[in-house]
Amino acid sequence: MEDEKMRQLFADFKPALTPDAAFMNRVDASLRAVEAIRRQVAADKKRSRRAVAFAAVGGFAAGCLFSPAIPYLGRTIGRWLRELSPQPAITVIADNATVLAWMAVAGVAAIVAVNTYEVAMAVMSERRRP
Amino acid sequence: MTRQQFTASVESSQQAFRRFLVALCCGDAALADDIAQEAYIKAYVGLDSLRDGSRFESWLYRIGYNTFVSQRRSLRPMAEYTEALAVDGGVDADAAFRYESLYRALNMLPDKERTSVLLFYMENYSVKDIAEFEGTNEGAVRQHLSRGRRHLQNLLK
Repeated sequence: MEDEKMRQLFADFKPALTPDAAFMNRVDASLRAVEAIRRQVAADKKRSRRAVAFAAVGGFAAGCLFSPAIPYLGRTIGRWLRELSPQPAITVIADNATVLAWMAVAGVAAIVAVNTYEVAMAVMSERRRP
Repeated sequence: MTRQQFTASVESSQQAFRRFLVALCCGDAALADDIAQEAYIKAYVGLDSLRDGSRFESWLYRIGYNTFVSQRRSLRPMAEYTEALAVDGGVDADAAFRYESLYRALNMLPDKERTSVLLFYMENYSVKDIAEFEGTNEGAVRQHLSRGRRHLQNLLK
């Protein structure tokens, strides 16, 4: 009985709402905005993937280009370290100077990759502008 | 679900949903509209997580309830229900004043009691569904319903 009274109370509840058309227009505009954002996010992801591919190619190319210099670079670094100090620790590092040369080339390749990524992103953003 | 299909679902559900939210917001139609808008956008963004399309409405009500709860946390309490009536008055002042005592009574109920009563008596949801919406158990919902009904009846006397 009490349940029936309560149901009746809310069955009669018909508050004034803003017009359906106005509400639906607002919903529709919001959904369009969501769609636009989704498209933008998808385009950005695609752009980012392409830029990553360019960066990988750029980094690899830089690595290939500078790798032949590693033996010369190793010898130079080793000689320079030996001249710098006769201490045993320095001598050990000088004996393994090729590792330092590899690290230097890897660093150059990484810098080239990062810059290629930035440049690719900038160029693709520029192209997208109307 | 495409945008057109979603819009069709919104069109068929929006009146009942907004009516429920107006009651939940104790007559603040503007706040109810904002919550409805936000709930529909959240629903659209999260459509992939809806496995059973036939449960769209109950899923929407759950989103609406959660949005209401988070709005309540960020907004001031609705103690000034008269302000809410003033906002509603912009739409139809007579209708707002017609339900003044109901809004006042609803405003006196704790959120969970009010939500349980509205979902059960207004939207005909089962105790189990309401428990799911509120993240509680069925016993707690039955208790909310019993207390809410008693409170409302006392307040509306």
